[in-house]
Amino acid sequence: MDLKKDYTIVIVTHNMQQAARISDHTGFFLMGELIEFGQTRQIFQNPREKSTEDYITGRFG
Amino acid sequence: MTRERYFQQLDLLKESVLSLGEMSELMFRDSMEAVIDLNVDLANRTLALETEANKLEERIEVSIFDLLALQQPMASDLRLVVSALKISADLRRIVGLSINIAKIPGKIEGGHIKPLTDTKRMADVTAYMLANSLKAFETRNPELARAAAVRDDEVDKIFYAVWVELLEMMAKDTSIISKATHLLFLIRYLERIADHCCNICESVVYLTTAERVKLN
Repeated sequence: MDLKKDYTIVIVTHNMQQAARISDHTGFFLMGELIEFGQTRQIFQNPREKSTEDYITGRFG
Repeated sequence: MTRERYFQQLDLLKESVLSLGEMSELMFRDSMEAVIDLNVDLANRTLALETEANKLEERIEVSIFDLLALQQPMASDLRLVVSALKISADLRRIVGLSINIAKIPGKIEGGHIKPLTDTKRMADVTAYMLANSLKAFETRNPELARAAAVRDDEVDKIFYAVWVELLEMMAKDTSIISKATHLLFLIRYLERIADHCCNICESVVYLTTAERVKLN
């Protein structure tokens, strides 16, 4: 939590629970393209893009 | 890797909530018919359904805990699970209030003190709200949910009108107090059922739009 004041940490993961648990913001990439970026709360509760929704709910991937 | 079992569990959860919805509609309709006609047999048939409704609600709750603990639903799936939990609690209350209504015919002897025309209208609007809130959940239609919830104003207006009428009748003739009190409770139960329908509508709006709204 101290590091947060001075650093931005980017973690790349396929583990949805890990992403949801530890990050303030989440970006969803598909085939090298940034599909959606937003607050982690918004991404996991109400994503704007269908492909984000489909990925985090396990419809594909 | 697709999650066939998970999707089946979500479908089953939705179906179970709709089954509890059908049961609450049936119990509400029959309890109202029983109280209007003072039909004790029909009232008893309604009372007999309570155990089944309780079991169904318990099954829904267990499946929700399983989904949360084992499948970690996200996004609209998460909103479905949370909505299902809230809607099933509202439906269980509607079942409970219908049970209260079904207990009234056994307590009223020798007919009603007044025609139940307004109360019947109140019940019809409430039944409409219940049917449409469930249809809105089934078809994920937030507009239908909002339209159903608007009818709560009519229920509230009839509630206050009948409430005042009954108080005036009791003031004039104290011999009717016991029977009138049952009718006061009846309209109170109806008013509460309509409020639970509004809650269901709010859950449907949340499920479909992620917006938290107050509809009553």
